[in-house]
Amino acid sequence: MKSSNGLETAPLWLAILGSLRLTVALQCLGNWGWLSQSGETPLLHWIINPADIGGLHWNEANALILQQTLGWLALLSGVCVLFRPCAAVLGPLVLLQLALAIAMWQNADGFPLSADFLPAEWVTLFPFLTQSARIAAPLGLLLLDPWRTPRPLSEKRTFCAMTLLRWAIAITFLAHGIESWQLNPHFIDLLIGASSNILGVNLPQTNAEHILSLIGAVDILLAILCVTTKSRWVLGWMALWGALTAISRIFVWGISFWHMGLVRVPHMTLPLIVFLYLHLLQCRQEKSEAYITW
Amino acid sequence: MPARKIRSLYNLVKRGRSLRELFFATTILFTSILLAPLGIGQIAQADTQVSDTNPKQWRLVWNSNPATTATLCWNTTNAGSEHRVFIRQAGSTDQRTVVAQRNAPYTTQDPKLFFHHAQLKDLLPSTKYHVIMESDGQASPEFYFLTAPAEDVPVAILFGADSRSGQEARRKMNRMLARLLRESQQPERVPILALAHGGDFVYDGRKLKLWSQWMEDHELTVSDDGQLLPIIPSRGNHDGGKIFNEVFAFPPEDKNFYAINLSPQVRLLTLNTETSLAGDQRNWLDTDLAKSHTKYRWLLAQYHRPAFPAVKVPWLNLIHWVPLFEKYHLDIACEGDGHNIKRTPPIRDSKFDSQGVVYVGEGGLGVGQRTPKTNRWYLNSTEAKTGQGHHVQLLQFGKEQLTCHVVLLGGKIFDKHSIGVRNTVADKIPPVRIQPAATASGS
Repeated sequence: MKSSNGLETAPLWLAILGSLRLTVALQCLGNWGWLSQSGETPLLHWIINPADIGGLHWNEANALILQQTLGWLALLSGVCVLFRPCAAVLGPLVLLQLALAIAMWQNADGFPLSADFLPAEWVTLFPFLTQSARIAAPLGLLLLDPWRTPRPLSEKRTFCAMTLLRWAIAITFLAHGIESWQLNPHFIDLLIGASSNILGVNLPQTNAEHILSLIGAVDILLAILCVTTKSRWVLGWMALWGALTAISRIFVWGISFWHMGLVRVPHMTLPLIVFLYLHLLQCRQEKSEAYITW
Repeated sequence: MPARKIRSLYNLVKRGRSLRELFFATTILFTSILLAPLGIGQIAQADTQVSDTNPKQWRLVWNSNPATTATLCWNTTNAGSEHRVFIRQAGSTDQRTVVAQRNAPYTTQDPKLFFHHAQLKDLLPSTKYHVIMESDGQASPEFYFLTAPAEDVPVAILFGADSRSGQEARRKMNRMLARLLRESQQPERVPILALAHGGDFVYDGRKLKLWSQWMEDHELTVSDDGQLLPIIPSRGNHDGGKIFNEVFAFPPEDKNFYAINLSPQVRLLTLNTETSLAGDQRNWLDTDLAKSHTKYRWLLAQYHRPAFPAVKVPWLNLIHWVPLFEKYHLDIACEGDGHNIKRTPPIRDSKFDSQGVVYVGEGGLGVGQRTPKTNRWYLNSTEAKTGQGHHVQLLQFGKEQLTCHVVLLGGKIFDKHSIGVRNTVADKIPPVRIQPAATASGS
């Protein structure tokens, strides 16, 4: 198996891994806030819902204890990830993110996508698309920076991890682009709120809807370009937009929604990480040092 | 192995008795096949036709002026071609026919179902109307309903939310609503006009199968003597998708926020927490409340996600709508989503204030109940009331008081409180209007 040709010794590679660790750590902090502090999550609803509607039908008190415990474990995992990103910690984090997506699917939570040409059962799977970056972040770290795994990592492994991250952000942008295109009312209110709170301008709903349609089209285009080109401009734009949308929750809804911003950190950092990786490959190509894999 | 099989088959055929049985079986089979498209098949088809356009899953919707207008909706499993309502004023023999204005298949077709909407216009206020729905000659039983009054008389409505799960409890609640409706029509009682449903009718609004079951169960709200309970629907977070507007006779792209007058002095605003809160809806709310607060004695709102929740986190209507409720002295806000029973003290500017708005509800039309978080500042008061149990709120609007009873499944009263008339109608200076909360138990 080919090794990654000394890629791992490059300072930029260390920055990539550091960013990924920080991403997962911040995501864990956000999950702690959501699960343990806010208290109301799709996961809780899934656990307490009756079985006839796909729930697990737990007692509410037990479900709350479980959720609180998961929140604190997520926080602890976040600290571990900063220093020792091992499979024993990252594996459960992937499962937690997956469980949140499953809960959204089972609860029929999230944006009610309008796609009459698809069977209703397929449409309900939409949360897996919107959550893909959040699921992929700990999985990517598990592949790229596992503790106690002999270095250098294989070239194939690095390639797989970066492909996973690239597709995950593309799917997330595509899903959010579709939501914007279909005028998700929360996004409309975010635009109106941002306009009012930050710019001091009263944005009429019709204008917000036009802007949102445009944003949706751009998101979908970015998602397509992300997987069809190696443009760093595209990834840079995605990182910037991911940051803006994550921060907007806090600016518009208030500081008490800080966790909503943090769980969306991968929307900003994953494009940035892929951007850095492409930049690293580009630099090495220019120096003709290594075999380019991507 | 095949040789052995062939031999045993040969032995079977060779035996006379087996051969006779085989002959008879074959004869019956062929006869059935031949007769199927002729006689038997025709009978089966006729049976299917009878049920296909038979009106079912009826509901009477109030989403515009209920003193003069109501929309009667029903479903059929076949498209049919002629759909109409026969309507007759009580005590009269004159019957008129209203052709259903909108007939179409539901957006999804699992199960195959067609909706029919007949808007009944130019009705007389406080009048009893008998109606029969008919699709291609197949008629429903006869029902009747009452229009809202045009005079300033005491009226009542039921408010409930969250019927999305717990089907057995939902059916029991519906039977109780029918009983409450019937009892309220007795002399000396304040008549119940309608059910304001605060949303989360079904678990996933994109699935017609769930709606079909809900509509089937909604038939149980018809009283013993055939009185239809009009419904004033509000959209919940589980009611996403296009079917909601098809079930409740809204235009396809309608955003589901509207106001109706239950009487000349009672205005009910139905808001939608599942569309933009800060945009057009907020502007509409501002305009309507600005006009209404000096005109109507009682102003109330219903919507799904709570601004002052007993279990969940406050929804963003706390930012966008509550300031308007307070500015224009809304009397009471009916909320759903939390799956418990809740009544807050009057709240204004994030503190208790006798001039504030009372928030009630949280949903118990079938859904399993959760534990209220009584340590929240607006529930941690002797004037607040929380609990668990399937329930409906009975709101009675008198000339001096608005009385709210929480009726549990089985008929017990869990909570009772009253609100006095605000004075914004007369001089825009609201007096102390909240009367001491009285809590009672019993039937």
